[in-house]
Amino acid sequence: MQNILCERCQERPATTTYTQSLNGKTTQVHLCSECAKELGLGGSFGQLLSAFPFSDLLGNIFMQPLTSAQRQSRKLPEQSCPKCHTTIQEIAQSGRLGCPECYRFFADCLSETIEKIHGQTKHTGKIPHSAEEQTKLRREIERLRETQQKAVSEEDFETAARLRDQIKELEGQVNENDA
Amino acid sequence: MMRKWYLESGTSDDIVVSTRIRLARNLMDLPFPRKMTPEQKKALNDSVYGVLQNIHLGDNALHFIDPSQVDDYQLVSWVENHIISPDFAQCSRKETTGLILSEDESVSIMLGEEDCIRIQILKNGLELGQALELANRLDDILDASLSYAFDEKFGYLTSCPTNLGTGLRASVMLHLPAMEKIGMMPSLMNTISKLGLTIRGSFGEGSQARGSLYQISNQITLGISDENAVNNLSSIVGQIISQESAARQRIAADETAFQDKIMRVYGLLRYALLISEEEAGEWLSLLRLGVSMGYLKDVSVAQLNEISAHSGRASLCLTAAEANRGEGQGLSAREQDALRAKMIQSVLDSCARK
Repeated sequence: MQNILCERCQERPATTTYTQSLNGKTTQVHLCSECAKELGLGGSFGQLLSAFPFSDLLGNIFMQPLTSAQRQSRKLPEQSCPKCHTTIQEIAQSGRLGCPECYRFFADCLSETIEKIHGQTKHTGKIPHSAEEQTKLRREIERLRETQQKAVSEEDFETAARLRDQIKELEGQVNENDA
Repeated sequence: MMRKWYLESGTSDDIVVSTRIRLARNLMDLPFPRKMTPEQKKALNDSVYGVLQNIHLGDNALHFIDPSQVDDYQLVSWVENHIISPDFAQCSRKETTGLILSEDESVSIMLGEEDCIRIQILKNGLELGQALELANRLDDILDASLSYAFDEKFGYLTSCPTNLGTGLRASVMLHLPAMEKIGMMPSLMNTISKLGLTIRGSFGEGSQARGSLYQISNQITLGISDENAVNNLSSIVGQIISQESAARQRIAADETAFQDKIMRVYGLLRYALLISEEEAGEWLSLLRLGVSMGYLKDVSVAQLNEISAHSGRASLCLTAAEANRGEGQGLSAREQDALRAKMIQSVLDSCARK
């Protein structure tokens, strides 16, 4: 490894090779002892840990779909999350968001990436107790809407009207809770 | 002291080495750890410790650990045994983190890794249902007192979008020496990736499959419920188990030659004076196969697990330090190989004496 420069400082010769791996992309990262120390991998501790893969050593994992979304909406790169000040470039580089609010703030930009990863964008399954009431209400509204559609297609307008009123009432509750 | 989790017997443990469930959670009022201040990290530790302080999991006491006070060898030894992640060990040496570990080391809760809270349950053999149940129990306890970051559309919000939704990663570690030998792995890997699952080496992404150990886990977390993800994984694992069983019968067709190969390795493990980490991995894999085929009645899977848990480089240094009642100390490669051989011999001797 005599001739390899440290990939972090680009100055000192690298002494140890680490593995970085995220989202199916595995790369070798060559670091000098000083940079390793700054990353928490100093001395014999770092040597012992070099046998294992890390998810983020240089913070430069590239998220392809995100950058294409970035290109489409030129306005976004200027902005940063109002809560944690993370920018979209930072997210694209690290593959990670800064705080829960980032998901709301960058929603338009992220949904393409999220759909690419999971094939869908709608959570099912466990919910925390704080979201229980709202989620239950929304899921109930969705269910009623489907029943209403069915009633309309069967020309059962009386049922459809009754369901419409029910939906309205539940939506009122949801809005009240949101406020 | 309570027996470690890997010494308990588990379902299908002739092929399934272990089961792991991990839940990723964050808090509504805090940024993700990469954006936290040191004060916020301390506050996170305090609030989680506060909630779990009076929780009892039967006899399995919870220990609250400050990783910055933990010896280097102990920390890496936990990585070697999958109790904490390499990332967690790394960030514990440069910033505040917190760790809650149960007496038998089957429950570990990492605070301040990539996500605020990572609940991990380890079980011997194939125990996805049990492990998920315990993870959910701890999750519910935390949820009752803390405000989790959650979005109706995206589910539990996580630092990396790959964990969105349930935040659940269910993994099963499989020992597949026969399928590997026959050359069935490439087609298995190909099939697995089409089913929303991944198959990787024993240390996850970017790690090699040492000793024929493969980790298979769910890849998709959004739009699939935790139960469905686990059931899906469970049914695929069931199919792999029957394929591996069939493959084992095939490679043992010439029984004497096959048994001879395993007994030779047993001899090496019992009498060699220097055993490297690579040799230990390779030989123990064959021995594990021999035990499952019933060739070595004295040796149990639990004893093989015990050997594996102590044969990593850091784990050996830790054992040496404990024997000297001193600080963790470095061992030369030669000293490690000698100590490894001695440890393996003493476990196998104790099996033979019974």
